[in-house]
Amino acid sequence: MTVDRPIGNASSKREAEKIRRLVERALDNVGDPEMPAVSLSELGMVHEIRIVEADRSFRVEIDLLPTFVGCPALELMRREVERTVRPIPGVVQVEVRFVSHPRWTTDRIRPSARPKLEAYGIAPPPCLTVRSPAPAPDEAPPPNGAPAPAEATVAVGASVEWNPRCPYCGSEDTILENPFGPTSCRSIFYCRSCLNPFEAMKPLGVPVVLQRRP
Amino acid sequence: MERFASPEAIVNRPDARSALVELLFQLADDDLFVAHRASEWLGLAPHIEEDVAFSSIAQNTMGHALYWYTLLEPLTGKNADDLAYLRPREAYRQAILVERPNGPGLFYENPSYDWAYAVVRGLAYETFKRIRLEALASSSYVPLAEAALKMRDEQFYHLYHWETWWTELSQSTDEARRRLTEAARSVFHDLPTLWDLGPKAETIVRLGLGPSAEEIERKTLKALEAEFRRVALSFPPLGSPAFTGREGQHTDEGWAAIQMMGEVYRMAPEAAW
Repeated sequence: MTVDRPIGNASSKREAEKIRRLVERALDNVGDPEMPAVSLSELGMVHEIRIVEADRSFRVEIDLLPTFVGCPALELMRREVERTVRPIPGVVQVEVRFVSHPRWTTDRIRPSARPKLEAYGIAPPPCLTVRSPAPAPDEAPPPNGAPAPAEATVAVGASVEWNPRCPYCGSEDTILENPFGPTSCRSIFYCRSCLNPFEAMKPLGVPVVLQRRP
Repeated sequence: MERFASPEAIVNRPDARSALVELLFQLADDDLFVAHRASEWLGLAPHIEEDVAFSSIAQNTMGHALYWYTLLEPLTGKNADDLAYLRPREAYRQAILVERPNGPGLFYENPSYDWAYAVVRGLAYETFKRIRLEALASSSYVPLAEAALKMRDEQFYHLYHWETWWTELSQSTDEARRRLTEAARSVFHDLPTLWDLGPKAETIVRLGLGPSAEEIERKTLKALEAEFRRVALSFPPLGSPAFTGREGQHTDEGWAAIQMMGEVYRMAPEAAW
């Protein structure tokens, strides 16, 4: 979502619009510090960009959504976003805030990020459609453009077992080794087909249950 | 019920503000201690996969503590590090259960920690935490409600972890069952310290800042009873501890942990990290 504060005349409005596009493009190129294959935008972490006029130049305020509350990479991300946005001509100040509302869930990850994660060796989180008994006619649009094609549909209140596809061989014969991995947002699985361990992004805020070993 | 959308909406209301500060210190100090006790296990856990898991839980939980302290900043005028490390002993609000040491010894000197105690305390605390976070999602203090929802998603994995250990150990050997039973007796002695709301309980509940102790007690016991029934272990009696920690009374071991956590910070609070 992008919000521009009321800005004086037509030419500064055009200027602000230009800056907004440049900021968006810049953010598309800020990779996640732990998963550089995908950008913060693709992960759905950019909540709001505000362009505020200040003395014939512009201040940029960016609200980011942390994936995990205690993710130690947040400070790195803040610095990287500031470093990338500040050189944009006309920008005098960049302010990056982490906000907890709306909360980040794995539904916010853009469809374009999914094959990139897989190619990087990380299975993307399950993409589920929750089927409500009476779908609201005017549901809010998804936060990041078109939703990813759903892999499965679940009824409200129900859940499905998390069973990611192996990013190396594509098999679905995979077992959960450890819900915890090298970063907060990743778990470790084992592929019984190609016999490789692999990582998978933890589903957050979606109705899944974890495999229990027999 | 009145809702408080921001710190500004509550900071000039002395009764509401002091009750909220009390509640946030309970949340922050509980998570600080759970994270610290977990971090003391690093390198000592039963296997390397468990080191990965337990330290990851510790990191997430320390993140939750930091977030609660950050919510306290505009209400107290102090920064999160000072709030975590520079308060006097009687200003801490963690429950006695979470400040208990992991076992005899120190992590750097003859540790003789009890894994069964870690498992049962983990199960009990995370069960309680899930119920508390779910209730806090409808807190009248909006920033707290939003944080609770966010943490609940993450905490799902913490609870799953301890449920897995609980299930597997209880289905293994007689020794495992005996040690789980002994650990459960210790944990249940301190269990009621979790849901005590301290001296501002009445205001916390009346203003809808948080759920009542009775509600949390009832739901936590029901969930834990189901866990014990599932693995056919007998439900231990609850203790009646002389103090809960919520009133500011703490064990020497709890205070020693605070001293240790803040040791470096207190040397130079102005240092930039």
